[in-house]
Amino acid sequence: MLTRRSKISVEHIVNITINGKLSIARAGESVASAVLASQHFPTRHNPVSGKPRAPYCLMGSCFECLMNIDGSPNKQACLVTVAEGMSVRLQSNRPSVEELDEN
Amino acid sequence: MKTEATEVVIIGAGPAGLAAAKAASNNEVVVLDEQAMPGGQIWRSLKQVEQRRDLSHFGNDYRRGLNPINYFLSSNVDYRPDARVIGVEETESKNGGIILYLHNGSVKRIAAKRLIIAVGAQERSMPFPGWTLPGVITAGAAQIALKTADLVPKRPFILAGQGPLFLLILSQLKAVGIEPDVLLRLDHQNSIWKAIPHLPGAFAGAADLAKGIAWRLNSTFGTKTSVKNVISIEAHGKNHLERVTWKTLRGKAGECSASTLLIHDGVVPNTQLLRSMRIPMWYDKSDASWRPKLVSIAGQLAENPWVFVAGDASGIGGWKAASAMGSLAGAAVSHSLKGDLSVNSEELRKLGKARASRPFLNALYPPAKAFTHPKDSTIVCRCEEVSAGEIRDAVKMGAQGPNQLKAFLRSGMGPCQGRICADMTAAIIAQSKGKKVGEVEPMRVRMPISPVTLGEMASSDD
Amino acid sequence: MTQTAEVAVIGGGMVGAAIGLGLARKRSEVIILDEGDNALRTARGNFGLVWTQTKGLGLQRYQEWTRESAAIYSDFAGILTEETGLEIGHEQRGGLSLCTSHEEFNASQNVIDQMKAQAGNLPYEAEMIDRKTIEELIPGVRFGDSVQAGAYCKYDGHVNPLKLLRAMLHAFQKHGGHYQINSSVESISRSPGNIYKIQISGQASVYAEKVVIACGHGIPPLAAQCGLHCPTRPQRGQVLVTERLDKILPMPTESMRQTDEGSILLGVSHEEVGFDDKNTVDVSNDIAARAIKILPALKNVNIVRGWGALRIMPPDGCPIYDESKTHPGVFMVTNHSGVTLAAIHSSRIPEWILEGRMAIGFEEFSSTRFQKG
Repeated sequence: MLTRRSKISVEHIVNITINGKLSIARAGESVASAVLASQHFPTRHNPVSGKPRAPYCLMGSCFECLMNIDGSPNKQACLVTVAEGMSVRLQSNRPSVEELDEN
Repeated sequence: MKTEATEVVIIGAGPAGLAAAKAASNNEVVVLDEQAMPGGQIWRSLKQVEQRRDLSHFGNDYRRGLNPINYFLSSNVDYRPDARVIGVEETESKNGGIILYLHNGSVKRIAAKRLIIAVGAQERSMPFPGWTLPGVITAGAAQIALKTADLVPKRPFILAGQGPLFLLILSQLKAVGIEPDVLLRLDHQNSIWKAIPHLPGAFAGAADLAKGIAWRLNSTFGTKTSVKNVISIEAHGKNHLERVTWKTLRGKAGECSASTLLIHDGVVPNTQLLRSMRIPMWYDKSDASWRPKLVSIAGQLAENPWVFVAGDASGIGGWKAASAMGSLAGAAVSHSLKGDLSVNSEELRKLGKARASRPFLNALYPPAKAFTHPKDSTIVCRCEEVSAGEIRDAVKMGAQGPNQLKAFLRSGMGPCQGRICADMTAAIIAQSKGKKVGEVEPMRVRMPISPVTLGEMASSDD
Repeated sequence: MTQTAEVAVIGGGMVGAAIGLGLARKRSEVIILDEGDNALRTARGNFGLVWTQTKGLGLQRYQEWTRESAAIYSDFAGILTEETGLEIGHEQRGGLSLCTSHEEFNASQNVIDQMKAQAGNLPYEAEMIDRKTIEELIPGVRFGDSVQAGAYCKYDGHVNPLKLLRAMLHAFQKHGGHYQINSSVESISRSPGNIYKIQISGQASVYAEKVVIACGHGIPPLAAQCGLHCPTRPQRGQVLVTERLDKILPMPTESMRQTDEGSILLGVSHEEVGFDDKNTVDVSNDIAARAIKILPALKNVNIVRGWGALRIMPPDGCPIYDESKTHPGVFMVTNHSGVTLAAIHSSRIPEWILEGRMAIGFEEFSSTRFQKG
């Protein structure tokens, strides 16, 4: 749905992982846009219907961009700026309490 | 829990917040911004775009943010980015209240004598069949993606909507060499006739009008397919958007395969914090939006005199009006604390000029027919997947309003707490009961207005 | 329907709906008059417990009454689901009160001892249990270190209060009951022919042979018009709601329960703040801290929303059921356990209203008990 207009110059590269795989992000962008730019979508599924979803507003209103960021589930990825080494996991299920307990 | 104290808290660092901070600067001011850098939505990522040398893509209004932002960053205001306000307590007092916000992993309290709320606007609710598919995004989202990350819509892409921001995103995308494969115009066919009576009043804002006309003319050239008078639109696909279909006023059907659908139907004030504070609101028919009741053009609230609402959060007016109003609010706050100001007539004049074209624009762009009366099967509450039909049935079964609706359906109880759906839900209830939209107020909102973890809420800095 | 109902129930909350339902099932011509969307609806703020273990200390009749309601609850819930097709999230496999300190342990033990003594020959089966037993009842979950004991009652459980209310109103209408909304009652007065006239703001008056005043916080002024005394006061309780989680709690505790949809509800507070139903950060801080003390893994779980609701609290915490002496046929029903008592309200109150049949010891619930001595 969204794609990079141009290559990111070296000084603006931020390395993150998405579902365990290395991905290049642009310094200053949100986790949500980095995930969309790497062509990962749907980014989650609605917990009531199971239907596929992805970010809609990119400004913190729609809550469709919920992702697990550095171990914390259900974070609004459009309000988190990418940081070097950040680990992003797309979530499809409700968080299990065992997962949460590990942190 | 400890409570910090200051004189003035400003929420938001867009045009209104920045201007307010400047005008109130000889008091103790704390600015809480949910973003990482000042600029709000219109001047988002301005410094980064400047670094990327892409300023020219976004038009002059964008560039105008450089001065206020630079001034702000070099001033000694206490600026706290990545701070999310979750509520305000003791709002009924006359002398101040307590602002609750999430910052650095815990919920904090700060008492203030005066509060300026400058939280801006959000997109109007636009439910239609298939709008929840991945690939359907707002024009605002596309703009944010372009500014903050240099991302563009994937082809084939369709832009559907109406209004000044619709025309703006079109011109910004053209500036980077991207045009929509199809442009769907959701403008009402004859709205120009309703708008013309407001034209003389709009001339005070002639420059803005001229800009708008230029965008509009620009929009009709170069786009591969432009369809006017679209009255319904549907998105189709299995796991993501694949195809868009539409119908015009004359009954002509059209379709196009699509990877991205950008939609826009104007913006409305962001009322979430105001509703959680139980601020009295009123429905402005002229621009179909809910607004706080103010007692002055500086944005002072009718029943909570220590609180001011400035900028688009008080009513849509654009960035210039937001700046002027922020200045007036900051000055009014300063005056009430220190008694050291006379009314700034220059800012008053700017505000008047900035607002001059509003009645014309509002009449030209009433809410699009494609979204105002969703079909029964259309999802309205995205979080809980509640359809318009379910809402109408619940009203028939006795749900008297949006608050009681929660006993029947879960609409508004999901993570967004009604940000996306509350206005439309209230409107559907009004329609079902034969009432006017303004007679059914959207659902109540509670602290925390944004999610906080139990750990963040429990943390004590004692 | 004709303008004169057999019974008019004022209030369509947890109490009014249950009573109305019972009356409609008995083929009475009933109308429920409900105020409006912005009424102080205690029924929207229930925690959802079906709870007996601590109810009725000081009034044995209430201890029996609440236990009887719990005993018939499963049937009540089953019939409701059959009648309406709506699931109400009812589970009654026991309830726990967790103790996180010596003080809490002693307080719980104390209450249980007194309740046992008060029960006399009648069964009362709450008991203190140790951590090992708690872990057997709720397996697979790591409790905080300070949770060493609890009180357990096998009759207790929970239900989804919003679904319960909706199902009761739905069943009420299916049985021929009339549910009238936007009906804020201004006054109750006598009308010729042994009938009562109920004046409603902005609507035509309703006439009924009998009136049940069951509108929670709205009762006192209406009761006073009919020679009844309603000394209840508001008491605020706050709740936090988490995002949906995998199912981890098979039974409710007094301050934590998982709904049928997966969210965890956390409470509880008892605040005397008048009619202020706002939720506050102070109390939320306490509730969150306690939740993490009990289940450390909840630290990273999001609070999606919170609310405050106003319990209707009689002076001794026990229900008030009265028929007016000056206005025979006008009844008053009020309590703070509308969810737990919904079952018995729908079965036993209607026979009192229609036939004058009182359960044994029922007169002990009269508000005259507050005027003694």
